[in-house]
Amino acid sequence: VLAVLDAAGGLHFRSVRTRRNLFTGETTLSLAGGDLALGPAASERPPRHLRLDGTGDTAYLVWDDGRTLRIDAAHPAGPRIAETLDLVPEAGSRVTALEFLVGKTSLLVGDDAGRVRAWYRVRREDAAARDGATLLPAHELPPGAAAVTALAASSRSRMAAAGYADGTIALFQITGERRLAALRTPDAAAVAALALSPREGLLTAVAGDRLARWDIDAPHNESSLKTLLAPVWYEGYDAPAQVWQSTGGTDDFEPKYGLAPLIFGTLKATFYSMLFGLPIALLAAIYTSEFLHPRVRARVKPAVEMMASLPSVVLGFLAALVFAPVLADRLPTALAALVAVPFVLLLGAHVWQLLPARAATRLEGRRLLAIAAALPLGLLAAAVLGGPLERLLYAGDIMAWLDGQVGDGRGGWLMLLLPLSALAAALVTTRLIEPTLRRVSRSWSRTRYAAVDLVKFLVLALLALASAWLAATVLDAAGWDPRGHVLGTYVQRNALVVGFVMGFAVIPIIYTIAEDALGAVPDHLRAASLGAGATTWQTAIRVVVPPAMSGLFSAVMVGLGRAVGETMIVLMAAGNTPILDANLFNGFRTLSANIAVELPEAVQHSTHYRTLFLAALTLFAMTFVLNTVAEIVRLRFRRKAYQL
Amino acid sequence: VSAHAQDTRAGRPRTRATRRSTGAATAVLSRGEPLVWLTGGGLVLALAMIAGLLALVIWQGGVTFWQRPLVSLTTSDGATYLGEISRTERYRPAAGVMAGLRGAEADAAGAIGADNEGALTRLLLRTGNFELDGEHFRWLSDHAVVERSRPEWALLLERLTWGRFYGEPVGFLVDGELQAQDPAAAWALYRRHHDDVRDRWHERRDIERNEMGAMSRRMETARLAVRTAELKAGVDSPAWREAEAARQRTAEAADAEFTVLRERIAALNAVNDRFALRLRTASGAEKDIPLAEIVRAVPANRLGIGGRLRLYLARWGEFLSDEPREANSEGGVLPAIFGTVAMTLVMTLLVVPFGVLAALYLREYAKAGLLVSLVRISVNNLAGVPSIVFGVFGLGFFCYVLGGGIDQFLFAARLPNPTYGTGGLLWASLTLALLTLPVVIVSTEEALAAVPNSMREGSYACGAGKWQTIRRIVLPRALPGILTGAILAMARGAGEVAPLMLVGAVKLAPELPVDGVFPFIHLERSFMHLGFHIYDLGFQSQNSEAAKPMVFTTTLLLITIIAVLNLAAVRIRAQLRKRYAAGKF
Repeated sequence: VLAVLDAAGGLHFRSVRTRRNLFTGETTLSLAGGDLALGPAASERPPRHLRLDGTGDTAYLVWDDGRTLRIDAAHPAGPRIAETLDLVPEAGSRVTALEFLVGKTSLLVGDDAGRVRAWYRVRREDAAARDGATLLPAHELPPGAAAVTALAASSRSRMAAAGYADGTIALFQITGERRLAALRTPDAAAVAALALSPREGLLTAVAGDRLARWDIDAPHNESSLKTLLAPVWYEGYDAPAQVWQSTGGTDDFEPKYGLAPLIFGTLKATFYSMLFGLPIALLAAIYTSEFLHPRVRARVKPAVEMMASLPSVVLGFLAALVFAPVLADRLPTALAALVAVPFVLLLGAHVWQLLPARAATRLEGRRLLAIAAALPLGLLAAAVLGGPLERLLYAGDIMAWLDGQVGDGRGGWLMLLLPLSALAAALVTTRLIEPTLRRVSRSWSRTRYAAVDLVKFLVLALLALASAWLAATVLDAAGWDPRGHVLGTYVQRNALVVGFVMGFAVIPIIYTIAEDALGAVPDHLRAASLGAGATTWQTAIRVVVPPAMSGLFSAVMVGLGRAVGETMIVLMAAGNTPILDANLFNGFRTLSANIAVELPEAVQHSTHYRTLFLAALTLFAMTFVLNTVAEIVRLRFRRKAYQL
Repeated sequence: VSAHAQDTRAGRPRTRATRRSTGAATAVLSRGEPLVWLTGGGLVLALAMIAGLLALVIWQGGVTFWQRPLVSLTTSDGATYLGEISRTERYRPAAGVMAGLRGAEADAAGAIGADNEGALTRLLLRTGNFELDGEHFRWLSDHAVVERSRPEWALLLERLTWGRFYGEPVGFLVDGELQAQDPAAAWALYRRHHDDVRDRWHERRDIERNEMGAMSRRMETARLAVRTAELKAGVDSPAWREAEAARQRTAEAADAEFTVLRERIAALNAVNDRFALRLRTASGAEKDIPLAEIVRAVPANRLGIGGRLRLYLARWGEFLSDEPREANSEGGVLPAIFGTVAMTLVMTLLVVPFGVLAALYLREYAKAGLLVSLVRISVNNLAGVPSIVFGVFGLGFFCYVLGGGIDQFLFAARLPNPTYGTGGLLWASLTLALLTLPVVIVSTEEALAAVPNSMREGSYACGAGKWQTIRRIVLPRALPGILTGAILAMARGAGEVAPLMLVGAVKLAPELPVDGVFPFIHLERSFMHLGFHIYDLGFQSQNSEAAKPMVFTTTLLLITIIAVLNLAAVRIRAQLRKRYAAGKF
């Protein structure tokens, strides 16, 4: 494409087409294009620069004072003015140098005050221009002392050099807004021209009547602490963003090494897996240590321990190929099960309380069987409720609902608020209702109290549900919708899947260490407590757990460390999309999975390779802190346990 | 008592109520039944998940090789498909699909929908015949199937290439002439010739692999000699000229031998190519399949229970002892088993001496102090470092720094092809040795600590020195613990995959790390690994539907190996304990 500006202010576009006939080998040249009359604005004071971008669909007319016309020439036959803007907003300043960055879409503008700015052409919804794009000042580089007289951009990366009127030269990294080097020409004459060699090895400058030359050795200049952790404005993005994108399809692709999405992914995986695994592991450890018959314990514990050596690749494969499709198929059931299973367990306990005291004592050995029977009941209830719940809360199709196509936000709020309201109900029970009930029930029989307790439990459960629903309605009416934040479009491999399966992976570790800690509490404490008339439960919660607390804490820390570093499960079941998204139902990529995926392909000693090593170091630092804390706490616990 | 009085004075009604009331409330509440149930629920849930997982793997892995009947399904649009049903599922039809159905199909769909809350069912049929239809599997909606049958002569072929083939035998060709017309006769001829054809095929493969491989190695050695001479003395030096002449002689000799071998192969192929089985597919197309291509032909619907059982065992045998075919989705996993075992053994050889020595020093020689506790904390910390970090270290240090250095000094002639400067058995074993070091150190330390001090003192009192005491008294008693640690380290190492992805496990290794060629153990070679095999099959396979059952089988195998190792640890510990219990005093 050619663009010509004539003296009368007419701008002419011509696109040249070369066509080669395959049969005759004849080449035909054709010229087509259009014109745009700019009138006196361009003829009286002709613009200083006329530039065409790399694809030839945009032309820039830049006047000395910074006034700029961006011409949209996507259709050369009908060019039109896309937008008018000022490249140097400061009054009185003039544009003294103009250059394209590699890829030829972004402008590098130097002015007479020594400022160098990079302008990106970005597509924005709110763009005023007719073609939906707008030119934005994305980066301002560290200023020089005198007017910019020459600019040169590298042809392979976002490196550029600026020459100033006082004879200094600065080498910049645009995306990171860093000045890599400040140079000085020999006789301090104004820099007239600059050039960077294609492989970035050489910089030459013409200043005064001399030619100066420097060797450049600036490895890994695109990477700094800021670009690794803070949002960076990359070309093609409409705002600064935190992106991990290490490879691209084109030659002028700029690798983006933002670690934030990966660290976020790691934390997301850890959070959800601990949310699921931690309670189960600790509760199971307490039951094993305090309520289980020693003979049963001797069989149960090694079984769980052996699961710790189950290869995580097996869990990952099952998560991705078996569990994820089932979960996608029965999401409402799974969500209902999260509520229904604890509910059925509590209900079972309240029913169990109805047993007369002697029967309860006699049947205590069979309690685990009753609990085991309650579990399938809970799952059954969830399976029955799943369908109706989906129709009631999620407009009959939870996938479409999550996508935001149907329904309102109440179902989502209910999902999020129900645990909170259940906790509140539990608090209300212990703080308010139980003391009152105690006073009233002095003369009741045990069974009668148990019956009242059952009714109380059911009423409170209903109340919790109702209050959660009420709060959900209020929040929804206020216009807040949880979709788009913590909930959102369902992806088959997501944080929920990883949470379940990685939670399962950390259970054996936390369980083993926690059970050991509880078992290390000396038996004479238990004997004393039971001898003083406390029940097993009171002994467990008031006598055994407090001294074992630091051991339990260290178990949690070790579990956290394992969850942070787990690779195969997230690699296979998390979808590996490096995005910053709190959505529970979206995929993510963790530091560990990222290393496993990309390190085998990274070129040795490249920036990519080093960044991956940095990711490994980050991972190491995270687990190092967790493990050291765990170890110190464990040692202290051991000392304390000896004193008991 | 005084604390109680203070509480009462401070006016805390709840506490007072707790301590004083002896009524019904306390009788019920003190048992904390709801919370006990929650803790029990946690345990039951954990156990149920473990049991469920094992049951799933055992079941799915177990049924993979069980031959299911071949069914022929005719759909409402007149097409017929032959194959095995791999699974069925429910699905929600797109809007308007139900309304668009006509006649019997609509009735069937309505009935299915009524049974399944509006959802329809479909089945995944493994149809094979990839070169004819371009697909291995096909979804068929149950309501669209109008006729089902089990053709008596339906034949399943497991082939060397193109995956499975389903069809009915209609003829047997010898030298392109039709020798049999009906299925029974064709089958009989197939049975008569197939074993011989397979034998010839094996012979051909052995020639290709062993004799031609040896030839290539000789030529490669000669080429390396030339290159070494070039590096040492320069091009055109006397040494170089000598080496070059030797290379040419080898090349000429090899060329002659290659020709002979190629003739032998051609002869074997020519005999094998004479036989072919003609099959008719469900859609009526006929195809001649050379007998050499067929690994196994199964007339699935004619098999009785005994036949199925034999087939089942034969397939397990093939799985455990053969090489993979078809991008690992068929055949066996022998190289992966071999790689896993070799890597684990080398790792154990590396880790046990170091771990035991370190533990001995820490427990028997070092004086307790800040340094020792720092070392202990570090060792425990090492146990918690993510395995992928070990992998990164292994790649950066072992492969690139150490391996690169070794290549520079010892294998310069092979550069730029890395010998040790890339992932391999040695580096993988070293990396995993680092990873499992804490396991060995901790369990050895525990075992040493469990040896009563009275025994050491007794030994000293008899005049033994420190090392004598350790060697004769302490170590034998600690042996069960040390062995347990070693076996636990093996179990951990065998199941670890993430670091191996970086330091040497590959999708398909052309050569085993141990073979009959000097120096017999090739530590620099990359290898296959069962765990990596699972990842690769499940996630990188083109024919993932066909690979899935194999993943389950491989998983079952890996879990079995690890469980056996763990159980062995338990057994050895128990037995050695018993033996040394007799010597207790």
